[in-house]
Amino acid sequence: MNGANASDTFRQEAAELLQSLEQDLLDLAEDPSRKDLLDSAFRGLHTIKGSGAMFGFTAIADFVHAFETAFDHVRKGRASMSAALANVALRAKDHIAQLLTESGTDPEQGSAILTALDEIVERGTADDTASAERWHVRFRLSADAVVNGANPGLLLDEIRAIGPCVVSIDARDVPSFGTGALEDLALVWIVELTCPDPSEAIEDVFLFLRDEMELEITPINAHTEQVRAIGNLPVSQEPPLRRSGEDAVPAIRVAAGRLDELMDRVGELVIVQSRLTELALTLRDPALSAVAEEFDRLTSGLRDTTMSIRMVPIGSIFSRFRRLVHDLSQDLGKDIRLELAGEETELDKTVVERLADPLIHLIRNSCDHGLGSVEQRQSVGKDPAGHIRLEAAYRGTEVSITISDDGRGLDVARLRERGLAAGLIVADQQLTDEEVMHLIFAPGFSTAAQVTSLSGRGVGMDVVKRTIESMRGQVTVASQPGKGTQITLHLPLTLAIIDAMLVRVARQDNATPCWRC
Amino acid sequence: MKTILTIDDSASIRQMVAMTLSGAGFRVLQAADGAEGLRVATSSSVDAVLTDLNMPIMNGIEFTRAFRSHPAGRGVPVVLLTTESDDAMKSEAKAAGATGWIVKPFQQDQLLRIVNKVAGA
Repeated sequence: MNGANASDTFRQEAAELLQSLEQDLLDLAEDPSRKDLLDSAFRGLHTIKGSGAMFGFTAIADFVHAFETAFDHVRKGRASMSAALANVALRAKDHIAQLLTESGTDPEQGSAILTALDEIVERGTADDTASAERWHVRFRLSADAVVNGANPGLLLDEIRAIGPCVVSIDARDVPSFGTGALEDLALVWIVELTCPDPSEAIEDVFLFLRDEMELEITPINAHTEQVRAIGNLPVSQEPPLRRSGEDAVPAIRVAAGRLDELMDRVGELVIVQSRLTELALTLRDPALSAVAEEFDRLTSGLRDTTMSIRMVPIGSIFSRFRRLVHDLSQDLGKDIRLELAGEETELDKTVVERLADPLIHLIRNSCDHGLGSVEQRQSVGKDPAGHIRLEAAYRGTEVSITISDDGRGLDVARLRERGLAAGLIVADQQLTDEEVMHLIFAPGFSTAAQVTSLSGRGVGMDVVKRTIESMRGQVTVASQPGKGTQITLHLPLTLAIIDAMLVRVARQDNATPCWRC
Repeated sequence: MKTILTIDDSASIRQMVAMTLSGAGFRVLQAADGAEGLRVATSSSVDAVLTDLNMPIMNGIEFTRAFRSHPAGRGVPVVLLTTESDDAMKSEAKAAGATGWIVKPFQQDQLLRIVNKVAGA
């Protein structure tokens, strides 16, 4: 492995860590009390810092270190988590992402973020724990830790090196003789440690064990002493949160370019295979026919497998919409909840990539206009918080993606008026409500006339429709006045290779795609 | 004196590991693949094993699994040397019974720190 590869890997790894950091921060903004998320955010930062320094990304390592220090106060309970803090942290995350891309960043921007972070942390500093010098470290290793080479004696030695401590054990869970496997570990260790700040050092002690163990570090202050005096209250036994990806099937990472190359080659192979089949048919040689059939079978299998490799879960782009909605709800001063469903639905990589922009546009539309203002919602007795649902699902050979909001719905009469004014329809034209609603996708339907004011990034609804149609998809719209609007994108499962029927017309060969046959 | 077994198909890595560890007062045994490593590890008493992940004949994960199921291998720290730091590898290594891992490229002091950590000085 050479240096260049290693730093590429680091970049990729860091980008993924930042992704999950963003999700954690968004969850924390909603529920600041989730300590498990805080821990996982912190672990992500720690990894980025460590590998960043190793691969020469010192700017990142320095920034993350400062970011981490501020966050550490929260983690140790010296400052409290809040939505405001999560927001600054999200900006910090963006800054790290920028640093990763190597295109020079404004160092002032970085220090501004850190100042804001420090300010919020300082403000939220709780006095009673700030001066804590004594800590309770309570840990329990996984049952097979000792069999797998962990040595509790050595671990305790490492903790003793941090500061003076008193070690006790809790043997309540140790099974009575003969009822449990002798090698299984069921002891809980409780260490009373005197030192300024043990969290980082303790994390280091449990470097390889952290994911499978229970660990609690709590400052010993007047409050906890009191609790202990009242009676030996059992310490919370909450199991550590497990990430859902834990049981993930082993996977290898492959550069997307190589996949495309593979697909191209399989494409060529499929063409050669068809030629061979043609030839066998023409020559009527039984031996050749047998080979051609076998080859046909193998090629189809190879083609199916290759196509399935290209399938990626749509959740990979859904996650970024959470951030989009979070930011939009701040910009627009609305409380917007985004609900995601069917993230595991798989689509061809190309389709998923090309879906991002249209979906961003549709979500912005819903947030800005669809939902209506807080006052307007309250005046009709709706929940002031707007709800947007993004759902993907399989429907036969296609995938449907629906964006629905609980806003005021499309105003059919107004749309008809605008359509007339724009010359898209004529006065006596008989149109169903659905046909009128489809006017929003017409190219001539100007943004001002369209029932939205947020222009997006130069992508209008007509571009959304064109993009979807260029992928052989369709867009449908449904709306109930006062209840909301649903826009559904119907997409084919894959674009890479399609079956075609060859037709010869006037000595010219034409290939007609078979997807609608 | 603690005995450490290093298993790696690359002679240069084995030499680097052996040099670092013997310099720090460890006795070092060497093996060039998992199968040879398993013979050494189960026939002579070792205090820890450092093994490469990708090797011919028997790879690091297979070695770890086999070593753990042998009476001599229960409780002996096994550290995997790997170029991948992804979680899938870690969970597979953990499931096989690995104690820890070092991600290549690593510095000599890192190696020493990890060996001291799992085997004691």
